[in-house]
This record gives sequence, C-alpha cells and structure tokens, in this order.
Amino acid sequence: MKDRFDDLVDDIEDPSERERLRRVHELLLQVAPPPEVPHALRELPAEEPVRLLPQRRRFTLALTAAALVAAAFGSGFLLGGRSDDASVFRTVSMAGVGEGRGGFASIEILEQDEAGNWPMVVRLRGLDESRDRDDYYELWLTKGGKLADSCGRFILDDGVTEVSLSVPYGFKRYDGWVVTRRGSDKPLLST
Amino acid sequence: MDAALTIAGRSLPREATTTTIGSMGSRELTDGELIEQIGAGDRVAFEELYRRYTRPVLGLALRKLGDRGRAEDALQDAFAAIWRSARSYDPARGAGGAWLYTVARNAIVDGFRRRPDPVADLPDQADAGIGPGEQAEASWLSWRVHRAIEGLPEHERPVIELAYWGGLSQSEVAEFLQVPLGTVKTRTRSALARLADQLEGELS
Repeated sequence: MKDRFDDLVDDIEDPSERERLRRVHELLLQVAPPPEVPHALRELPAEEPVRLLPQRRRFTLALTAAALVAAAFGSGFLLGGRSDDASVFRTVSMAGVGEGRGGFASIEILEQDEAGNWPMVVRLRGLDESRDRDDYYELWLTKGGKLADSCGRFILDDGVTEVSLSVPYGFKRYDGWVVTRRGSDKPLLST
Repeated sequence: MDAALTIAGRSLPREATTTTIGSMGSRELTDGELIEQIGAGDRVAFEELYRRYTRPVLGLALRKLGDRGRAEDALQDAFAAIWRSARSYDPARGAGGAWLYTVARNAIVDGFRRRPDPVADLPDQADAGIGPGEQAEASWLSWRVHRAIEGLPEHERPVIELAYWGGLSQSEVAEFLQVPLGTVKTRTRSALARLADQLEGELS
C-alpha cells in the first residue's frame, strides 16, 4: 500500500495538491481501521422496545430459513441476485483475521421481507477457493464473542463470490458476524 | 417530562425539544454547534452526534480497553457522559471534536476503574513499546481520522476503507464494488481531498 499512492491518484497536475493528498495517504497508513459497529449500537435505543415475533411464528420462520439455506447449499450456492427494487437496510464490512488475513467481505442486509425474514447479499474475496462441494464456508452471527446462529453455508470461487441468504433472526440480539470454514470454528473473517 | 429513552441508565426526552438541525438549511452543523444544541436538550442533535461519533468512540474504547464487550459498554457510558456534560461545553475554549474526545476518554477510563475486570487482550498492538505521550498522540490521530472517515459520502467511504484497510488494489476495489475503475479513482481522489480538508491540522 505504501508505494501505491501514484496508483491511487494518478494525474494530479498541481504539485501542492498532490503533496496535500499524499500527506493524507500517509496518515491513513498510520491508523487502524475504524471498528465495525454492531447493529444494536448503530442507533440510539428505540423509544419502544422491539416487538418480538410470537414464539411459534419465529419457529416457523427459522424452519423456513433453514430450508432455504439447505436448498441453497444443495444446489451449490446462490449466485447473483437481489432484485433491483430491494433497498439496502444496512451494510456490514468484514475483514480477514488469523488464517483468513487478506480476505474481505461485505454483507448487504436488505429490507425485511413480508414473511419477516432478512434477505442479504454477501460478497467475499481473498479466502481460499473451496476444493469441492464439501469444503464449505459458513456465515455466523455471534453473541458474546461466540458463534451463535448460522446464516448459511456456501462454497467459494476464485475471485469474488456473491451469495444470497435469508435469515429470520432479529439482529439486535447479536454482537457481530464471522465466517468460518468447514471443520473449524476459528473465524476467518470478522466484523 | 416523559423519559422513555435511556442510555446507560440515563433518561433522555421522548421527543426532541427542538428541531433546529433542519432550520439551518442545507449547511451541516459543526460538532460544536450540535453539542450546544444537546446542552439545550435537543435529542435530534444528539442522534446526529451519535451517528457521527459511534465509530470514533468505539475505536477509542477498543484501544483503551482491548475487549470488545467492554468497549461497547464504554461506548454507551461515553455518550451518556456527553449528554450529561453538553451544557458545560464552551466553544471559546476549543473545537467540539476535542471536547468530545476528552469527555469520551474520561468516561471510558472512569468506567474501567469502576469495573476493573481483567482485559482479554492487549489494549492496542500498535501501541506496544511506545511511551504514554506517543500513545496519546496516536489515539488522538485515530480519533480525528475515524471522525473524518465518518464524514465522507456513502459512495466514497467504502473505496477508502477497502483500499487502505481491506488491502485491495484499485482494480480489486472496482471489481468488489462492481463499478468502473475510473469511478474508483475519481472517488478515491475526491475522498482524499475531503479528508485533507477535514484533517488540515494533522497534515502540517
């Protein structure tokens, strides 16, 4: 990154402006990234508590989501995807940790659908390509730093992989996201 | 007054007592102006300040405490302190960002003293081996940069975060965001210029 300033801003004719931007570039290299903020802390507490779905409906939704994820996994993985009219509710960034260093992902959480599920589009790059269909990755919501609920499994291609998932969970109960690889609970990507 | 909303045990008004953010037209209020309005009980101003400073405050708490759960608690302590203390802000004595840094840092440290549980990790790997003065300087620099990043337009912020902290090349950023390479370069240059404006004092 240090030597890439010219690549970032080629063609600045004004030497003083070029120097000004280079100093910003060097400042950015000195600091750690700003942290990702958990969904529950992104806004001040709501005036009314979030109304939880009735238990039975939550169970049905969980089954529906599990079926959707199983269907997605059974057919390889879902590529592409979201409809053009779906608006993004929130975007979450994930960066590589441990053996996943160098990886990166973004999760676009779309507006809640009529059934109460949260569709999401996950884009990932920089992790090892899956060797075969059994070599899957898994997106998790975490609570207290531990894996809590799975959002789905998927296989990674070389380059950028885009996966569409849908979950029934209320995100305020969780404090982060991680991606793991089959056979390990070590995070490879984390918020 | 109804007090339906609480943060870290402190009550905030149910309704904004004023709506002066909109009354200023298209000009964005400075941090100092927001603090003055918060001091008058303006909840809308507090929400705007919270939006601008959530990541800088959380980043500061993470550097101080090294533990994510405790840092998130400290984030709420810090904003409760800002709400409580806003009336004491005097713009003649310094910019809003510096005042917020001081109030947030003190709240984080006070919270740590009240709940001195052992921390899970080292506070900040980057700070290892440097003196208190340098740590303070690095902490202030991170605060300023993170605040400036939050001020970038939505379409420029990801370009900077992917390039500098995602480790992606410009081509990879373009591929990742599914926009042309030229757009990435334009946004990067524009974002760096905005950051330069915001961080003028740090560049000399």
